[in-house]
Amino acid sequence: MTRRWRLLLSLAFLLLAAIMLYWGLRPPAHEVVTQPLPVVVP
Amino acid sequence: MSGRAWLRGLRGVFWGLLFAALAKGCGGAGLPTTPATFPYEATPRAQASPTVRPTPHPPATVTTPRPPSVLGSFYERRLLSVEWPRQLREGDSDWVRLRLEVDQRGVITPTVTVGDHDITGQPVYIPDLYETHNIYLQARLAAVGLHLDPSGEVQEALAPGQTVDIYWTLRGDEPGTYQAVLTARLHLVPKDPAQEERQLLLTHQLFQMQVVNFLGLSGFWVRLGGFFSALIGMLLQLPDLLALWERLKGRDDTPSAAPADTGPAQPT
Repeated sequence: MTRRWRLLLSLAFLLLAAIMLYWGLRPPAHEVVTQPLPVVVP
Repeated sequence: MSGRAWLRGLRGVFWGLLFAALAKGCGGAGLPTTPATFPYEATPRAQASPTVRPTPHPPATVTTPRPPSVLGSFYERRLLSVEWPRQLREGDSDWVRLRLEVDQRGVITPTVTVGDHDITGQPVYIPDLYETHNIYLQARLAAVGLHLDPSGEVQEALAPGQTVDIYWTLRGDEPGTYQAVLTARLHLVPKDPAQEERQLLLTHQLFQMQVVNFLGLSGFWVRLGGFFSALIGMLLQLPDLLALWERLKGRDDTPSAAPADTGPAQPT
């Protein structure tokens, strides 16, 4: 394996690692719904 | 001539603008602007809008008349908020939160009031239910296909001036879109045993959550794969890095080395 191929393969693995770690570690987005309490008559 | 005409035109524009500004200033009104108010926020009697239609019948549930100075402090704004994750990684857990927030004055008095007050602008009388009741927030989260904890109904006691949070943790083991229903109620337990308990529905909140994976891998395996990919990527560069290190070290040891020694490495 030539040095150039080793470099390309290494970069491919590092890119894959970056994508996988980003996908696996990013905090999930949350949604919030806020509403006023409805009027209650006990 | 053309210069004079131009000046005359400019003067006309100036007087026109001045007249328009004066007319606007004297007329004053312009378009009526409505303040951005919270849709369900009760308006105190003293601050009621003059456009409020007077209602022929007073509210029927006024049970505890209070002096006007005290009334204002009982007008409150309480908010129910639900927070949930849009997406879940397969195999990972996340949380859903139901929050009953206090208003800016720190008041969270359960209320008795009459409907449509926010539309008609009727003053609202709000007796303090804590004097007569124990109040609980009951909630249930249901989502078929997801693992929920706690499952079933959850109950939290309400206290004056305190925000109440109820959390659920959830996990999805299969990718797909899941529907969830959150139901919240107020459970009023009278301190007088002669009276009967009441349950008041606060909300039915429907929402969707997606469970996703990465090329068929769950969250754990994706993180593990990412770690090993980074390791392999660095190991592949290790021989070149070591060679570079040796070369730099050799150059430091022999400053008068030939330029050919410091050249680029030959392909292997």
